[in-house]
Amino acid sequence: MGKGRTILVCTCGLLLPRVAEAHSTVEGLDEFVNGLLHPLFSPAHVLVLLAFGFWIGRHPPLRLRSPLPVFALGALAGLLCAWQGVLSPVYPPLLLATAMISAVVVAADFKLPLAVRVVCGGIAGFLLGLDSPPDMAGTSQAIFKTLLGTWIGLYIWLVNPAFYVSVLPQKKWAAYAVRIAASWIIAISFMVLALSFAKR
Amino acid sequence: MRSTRKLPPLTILAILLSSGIASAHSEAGTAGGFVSGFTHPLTGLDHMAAMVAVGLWGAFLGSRAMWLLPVIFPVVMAMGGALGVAAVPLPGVETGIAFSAVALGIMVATAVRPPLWVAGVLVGAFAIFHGHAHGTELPESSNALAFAIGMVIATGLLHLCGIALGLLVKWSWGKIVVRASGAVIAGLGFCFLFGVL
Repeated sequence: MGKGRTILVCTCGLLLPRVAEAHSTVEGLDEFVNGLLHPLFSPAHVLVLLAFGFWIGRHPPLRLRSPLPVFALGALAGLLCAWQGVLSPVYPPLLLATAMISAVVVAADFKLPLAVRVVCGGIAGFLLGLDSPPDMAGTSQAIFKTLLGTWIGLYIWLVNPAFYVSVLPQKKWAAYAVRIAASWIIAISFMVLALSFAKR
Repeated sequence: MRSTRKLPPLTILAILLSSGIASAHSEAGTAGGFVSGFTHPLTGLDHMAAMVAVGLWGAFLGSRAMWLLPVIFPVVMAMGGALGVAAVPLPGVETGIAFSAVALGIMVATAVRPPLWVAGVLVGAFAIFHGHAHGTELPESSNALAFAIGMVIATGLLHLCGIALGLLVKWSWGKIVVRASGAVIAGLGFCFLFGVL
């Protein structure tokens, strides 16, 4: 085979590698929408959002307002740190520990003061934001859109479980269902935490 | 006109190397981890029988037990799972799992109503064996977190199946159905205990 054809084959080979799939983005979607969906692609993020959402949703609707702005501020701070590469990446067991602590509070039906929920909301938001770095290979506009989408996405996916839990009827079965779901989150987090410590 | 020229070997090699991995039915990544975790409790009849029995007994014992037992079980199961992950040996895991189906099935079949804490301790003790069996599989999975999520959801859904069946106790004919189900579960447990199944 001639030199020219060898070069052609090698060039084709270099063009064939698959698209890098870091951040599990969906091909064809806008960066903003990808950012919105970003929290759903990480099981650890989903666990934290569900567990903390259950926790704040189990308090009356008026109090629902208090931890959410702090969560949003924490998420914004975390995203900015991730973008700048400060404190990033997050030590993975931290997210699972956050999910587990929130789920323990729900499953055991602890009535903790509002200040504790606010502080935990800030920490959860910060960790989730910090663990959602944008794809730095894109343009500055794409990075901005991803960051904005992720920030709003984190908020939406927290508000959803919180809202639905807060509007559940005042029936025993409803409270029991939430506590059972929280116990599932405890079990998942505990086993994976055990695995991550066993690997060390 | 038909070409008689052959492809050069390097071109064939490049084409072969460039092909993507066939991923149909593969158990890789998050989805694969979830599927293997979800199917893990469903692939063992002894596991399934015991899980259904937990929900069945909880519903049979009343409203507090109905939610308390399905909360205790996964939490204690996770502790057993941690032992499995850490490769801490636990003797008689398979026997413990089979015996859990026997014991819980007999409780339902004979309509035993112990104090709630006794039921909780009993269910928790059995959960250790189930958790250990699941935990030993966890390090082998392609995605441990997704595996754990699938496994816990499947376990919880089996409890809910048991609870749904157990709610039939509201009716007199339902009590017979529930107690008969307990007897069937106990029978299955005996079969596993003595190696018949």
